[in-house]
Amino acid sequence: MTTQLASGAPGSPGLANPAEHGGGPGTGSRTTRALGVAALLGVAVFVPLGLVLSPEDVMQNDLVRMFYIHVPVAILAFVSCLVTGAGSFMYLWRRQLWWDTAACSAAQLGAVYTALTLVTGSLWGRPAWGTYWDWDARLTSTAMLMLLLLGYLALRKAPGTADSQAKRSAIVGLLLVPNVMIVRQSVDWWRSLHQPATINLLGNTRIGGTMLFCFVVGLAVMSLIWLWLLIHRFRVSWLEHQIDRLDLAGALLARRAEGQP
Amino acid sequence: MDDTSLFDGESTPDAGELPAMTDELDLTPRTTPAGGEGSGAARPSTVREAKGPRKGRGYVAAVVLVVLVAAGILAVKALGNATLYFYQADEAVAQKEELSTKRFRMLGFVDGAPVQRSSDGVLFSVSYGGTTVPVRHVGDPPQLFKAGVPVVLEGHWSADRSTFESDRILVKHTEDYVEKNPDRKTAADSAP
Repeated sequence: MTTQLASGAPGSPGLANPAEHGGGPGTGSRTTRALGVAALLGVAVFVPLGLVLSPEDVMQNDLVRMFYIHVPVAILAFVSCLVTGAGSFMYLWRRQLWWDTAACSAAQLGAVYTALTLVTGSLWGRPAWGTYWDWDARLTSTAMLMLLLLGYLALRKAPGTADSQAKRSAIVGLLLVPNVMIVRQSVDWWRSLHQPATINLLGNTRIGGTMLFCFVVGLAVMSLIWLWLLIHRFRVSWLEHQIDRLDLAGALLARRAEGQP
Repeated sequence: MDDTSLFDGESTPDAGELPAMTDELDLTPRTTPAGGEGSGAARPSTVREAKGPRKGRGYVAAVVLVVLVAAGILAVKALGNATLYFYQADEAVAQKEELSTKRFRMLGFVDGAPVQRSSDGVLFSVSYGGTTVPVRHVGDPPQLFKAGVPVVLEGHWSADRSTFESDRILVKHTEDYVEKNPDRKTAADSAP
C-alpha cells in the first residue's frame, strides 16, 4: 500500500475513490482490507505473547508488559508528527492540497497516539514510580507536544480559503518536527524521572531476548493498525475535500446561471 | 440641517486625502487602461507597489522564523538550568550549605542495609557516587521500593544537615529490562 500511496500522489483517483479498485462502497480497498486482516491476526498473536508468554522483569515484575504498548504507541506518535511535518513541507513546496490533507490526517492520528502515550505512561507510572504524573522533562515536553497538536487541529477550523488554511496549518505543522526532537532527546538532555531509551538501533539494546521479541511484534502489529487508520483517515478527508470542491463548483454554476438573462 | 453640516464637516478632511487614497486604490487591476500618456507613467509605479507588500510578507515570515528559532534556543537553554529535576546524593552533600533547608529532589540508590520502620515512616540510606546519605521518610514507601533501586526523594536537609527528611519517594527505573527466570533466584528476588 505504500506503493499505492506513492503512485497515488497528487490528484490520483486511486486513493480518492477506492471503489474503483474493487473496494465496493466505503473507503476500503483490497489493500487496506488485507492490511486490516493482517493487523487483526497480529493482535491475536500479540495479546497472548505480551500478557502470558513474556517473562516478568526482575525490578518491575508484571509492569514490563506495559512497555510493549507504551513504547510502540509513543514511537507511532512521533512518526505521525514527522509525517505531518513532511506533508506540511511538501505542501509549502508544491502547493497541492493533497499534501495538506495527508499532513492533517497524520496530525489527527498524532493527537490520538500522543494522548495514548500519556495515558499508558500514567497507568504504568502509578505502580512503577509511585505517581501518575510529575513535571519532569520527558512528561512536560510530551504534554507540550500534545498541546501543539491540539493547537494545530484547532487552527484547521479557523475560517479562510482552502489554500490559506493549508498554508497556515503547514507552518504550524512544521513546528511539530523540532518538538518531537525535543521530546525524544529530553531524557538525554535533562535529568528526568523517565528512564532513557531502552531500545537503541545503533547502541546496545538493554532488554532481555524474549521481551525484545514481544516488543518487536507489538511494534509491527501496532504499525499495521496505525497505517490502516492513516490510509482510511486520509481517504475520508480527501473525499470531504472533493465534496467541498464540488459544492463550491455547484454554487458558482448556480450563481452564474442566476446572472444569465 | 444639522445632519448635513456634520456630514460636510467630516467629508472636508477626506477630500484633502483623496489623491492618496486613489493611489492606493490603483492596486486593483483595471480591465481598461485609464488612457493617455499619464497611464504609461503610472503603470510601473503601481506594479512596484503591488510587489512591495508581497516581498514585505516574505521578510516578515523570515523575521518571525528567526524570532521563533531564537526563542526556541533560549527556552532550551533556560530549561536546561531550570529543569534540574534532581540533585544526585553526592551533589546534595557537597552543596549542603547553599541548599540549607530548602526543598529539593535527590537521586540515590537505596542501600542494602535493612530498612528500619519508624513510628511514622521508614529510615534508610541512599548512595550516589560513593556518598551515602541517611534518610528519614514520613509516609509509606511505594510498591516497588526495595534495596538496590534508584529513587528520587523529595524533601530537605534536617536542621543540623545530618539527614535528608523526605516526604515523597518516586522509584526511578533504569533503562534495563532483565527477564526474571522462575528457576533461578536472583539477588533482587531475595532482597527485602
